[in-house]
Amino acid sequence: MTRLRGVLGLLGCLVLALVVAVVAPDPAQDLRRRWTDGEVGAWAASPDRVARVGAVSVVRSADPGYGQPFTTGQALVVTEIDVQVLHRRTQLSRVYLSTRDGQQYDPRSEFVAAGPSLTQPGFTRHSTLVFEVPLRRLDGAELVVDADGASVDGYADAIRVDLGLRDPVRVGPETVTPAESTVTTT
Amino acid sequence: MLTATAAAAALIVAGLTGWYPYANLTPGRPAATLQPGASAEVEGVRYRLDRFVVATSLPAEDPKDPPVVGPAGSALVLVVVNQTVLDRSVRLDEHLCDMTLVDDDGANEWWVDSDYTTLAARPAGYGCADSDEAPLRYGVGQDTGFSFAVPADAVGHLSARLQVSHGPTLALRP
Repeated sequence: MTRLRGVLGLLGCLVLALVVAVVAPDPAQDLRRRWTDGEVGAWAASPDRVARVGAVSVVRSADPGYGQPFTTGQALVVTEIDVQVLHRRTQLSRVYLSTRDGQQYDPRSEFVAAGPSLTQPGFTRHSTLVFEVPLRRLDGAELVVDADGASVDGYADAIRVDLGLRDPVRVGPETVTPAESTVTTT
Repeated sequence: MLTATAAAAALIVAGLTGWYPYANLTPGRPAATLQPGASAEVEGVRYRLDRFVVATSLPAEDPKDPPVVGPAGSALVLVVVNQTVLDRSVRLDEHLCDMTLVDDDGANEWWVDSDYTTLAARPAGYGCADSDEAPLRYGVGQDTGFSFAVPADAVGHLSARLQVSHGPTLALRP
């Protein structure tokens, strides 16, 4: 009887482990995030980076500095951001705009020279991102500075900044020209 | 009894599963610590720290170009290691390595710079591996260089780690 209970216990452990392995989300696909919230003009600090959105404008045209200006019938959200990097280098490759309904928009690749890139600790990256977003989705949009990957505890530290866009969002008539990304000592 | 054994086994497996990737993230204990001019033979390779230069600028590779500088308030670091593969069981094409800089308390870590020091005068070898520009030969010493940009306030608190792929870690001090 005792032996039977032991075998059943062992089987129970194995079944439990199997269920956890099948049901648990793949951390590589579905990162659990620890959020730090910020607002335009204020520094928001996570353990390995500090970010500040300096300026936000909404236009229909932006000049990448080569060829014709990029224009859209929707909206271009032009966001200037400073990121102080702490402790370890970061690619800053996961910066995107997130809307209230959960849509994510990556920065337009035409403006990659102005965008964030690999930055070493002790330095601050100043960059400009240009997002093309449907006008009706701008209300409540946030900029997300996501981690390159999860921390040792399985969580990814991410910063989200409310861009202060509320309906009706004014779309400027001007063409903006994002400056090339720069690095300064923090 | 069997249940307790299974629970213990599950805990051990779970612990090892968590520990293994973490241990791989943590650099190993250095097999040797070198200062400029010193050498050590580790796993069939003799490493000699040739130079550990910390400066506000580095000479450009082309003498006609101005010295190479980083952002205002930064310093540049060039670490040159001379390596001689002595043991012929060491495969030259698999002798790979990389270097990072760390500060005294290990809180900050810098990887090799690819923005500011690419035009600096450096040895032809940028890593330990064999290459067309810097062929590695048994018994022949070869310089390999690594350059970094760091905030100036880190100067005086820096050391380097040379990590040989699937091999030892060497600590290098200015």
